Amino acid sequence: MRPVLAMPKAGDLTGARDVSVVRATDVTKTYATDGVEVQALRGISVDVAAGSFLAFIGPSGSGKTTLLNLLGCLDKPSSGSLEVAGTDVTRLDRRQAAAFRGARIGFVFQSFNLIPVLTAFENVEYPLVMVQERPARERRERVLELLEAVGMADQRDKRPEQLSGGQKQRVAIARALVTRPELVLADEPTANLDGETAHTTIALMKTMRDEAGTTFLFATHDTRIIGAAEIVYTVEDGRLTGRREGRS
Amino acid sequence: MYERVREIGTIAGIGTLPNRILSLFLVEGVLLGAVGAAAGVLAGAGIILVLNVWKVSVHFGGSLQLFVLSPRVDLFEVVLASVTVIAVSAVASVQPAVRASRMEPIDALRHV
Ligand SMILES: Nc1ncnc2c1ncn2[C@@H]1O[C@H](COP(=O)(O)OP(=O)(O)OP(=O)(O)O)[C@@H](O)[C@H]1O
Ligand SMILES: [Mg+2]
Repeated sequence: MRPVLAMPKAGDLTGARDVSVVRATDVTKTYATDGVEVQALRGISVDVAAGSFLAFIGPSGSGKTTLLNLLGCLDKPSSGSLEVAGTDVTRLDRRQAAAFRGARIGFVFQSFNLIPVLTAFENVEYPLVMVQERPARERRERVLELLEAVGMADQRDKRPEQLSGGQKQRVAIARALVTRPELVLADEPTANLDGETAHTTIALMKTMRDEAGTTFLFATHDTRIIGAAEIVYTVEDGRLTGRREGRS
Repeated sequence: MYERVREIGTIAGIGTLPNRILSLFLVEGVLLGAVGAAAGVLAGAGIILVLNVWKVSVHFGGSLQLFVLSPRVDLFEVVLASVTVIAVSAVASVQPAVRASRMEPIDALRHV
């Protein structure tokens, strides 16, 4: 696989290795639907260093997606403090939050969320057009590079409905990486991938971390990601109940 | 519409600014209107052409006389109708466009 991205490491930029991308203190999230309150997060405190390759694991309903939504500035904590990429994200208004996400964060959603009327190529190109407004040539190069890297270059003119689950997932991954975000939040990004594709995709993300210092946070049940992650947090009932450092 | 809401959640989620979402939807409304108007003009022109070529004739009421239809319209009417169609669809897309631009991405994304 070709090296995908050449950028200074986050550590090099600041001159320090242990810069935090995430600083969460006593973060809680309570959902209220029809008068019924659900405490999805019950006090999460975590510090994530830039360039981490980290997985949140835990049973279904434990709060992994909720946590990623807060870290991705898609939703706000009910209480606690939360800093992402040096920004107090609890204070951003809707417009500022959108600008923040577009500039700093890449999302791989649990259900892909490709745009149905666009081709695979256009889906990956979308954030470069509508969010970051890159020139056409640069867009084309970057999109093709990433489609190539996830093995989807030959399917680039197909629309999502013409793609399999695993293929959609790879397009979704390419879309998340194409903007070269500082932080990638990926919710079950390999659930639909076969062994080899999962391996290639994980290797691609790790290369991006090594070359660009991108931080990757996963929510997953997939042993292939858990094996590749350098730090694994266990989430249970809205709390972080375990942390282990694996091999790198 | 379900698909649409998810789509709004997605584009907002990945960082499209609210104003941009607003203009995307307005432009879409105007374009839909323009396509509709163009389709209307073409269909109308087609019908007029057919009537003129085939010299369709009809009896009116009980009259014994045959009327040969040779319809025509002037350009001004066509332009006026088209502009009206486009304007109406632009105006009609304002409210949904505003709503789309004000959606919370997290709510829109949860729409299944
Ligand atoms: N929008 C919502 N409204 C109400 N309750 C919610 C909402 N979203 C999540 N929850 C609840 O919050 C808890 C945590 O959900 P979450 O989606 O974060 O779990 P998860 O760990 O991602 O699960 P899975 O592994 O199945 O994806 C669950 O009890 C869930 O029912
Ligand atoms: Mg989940």
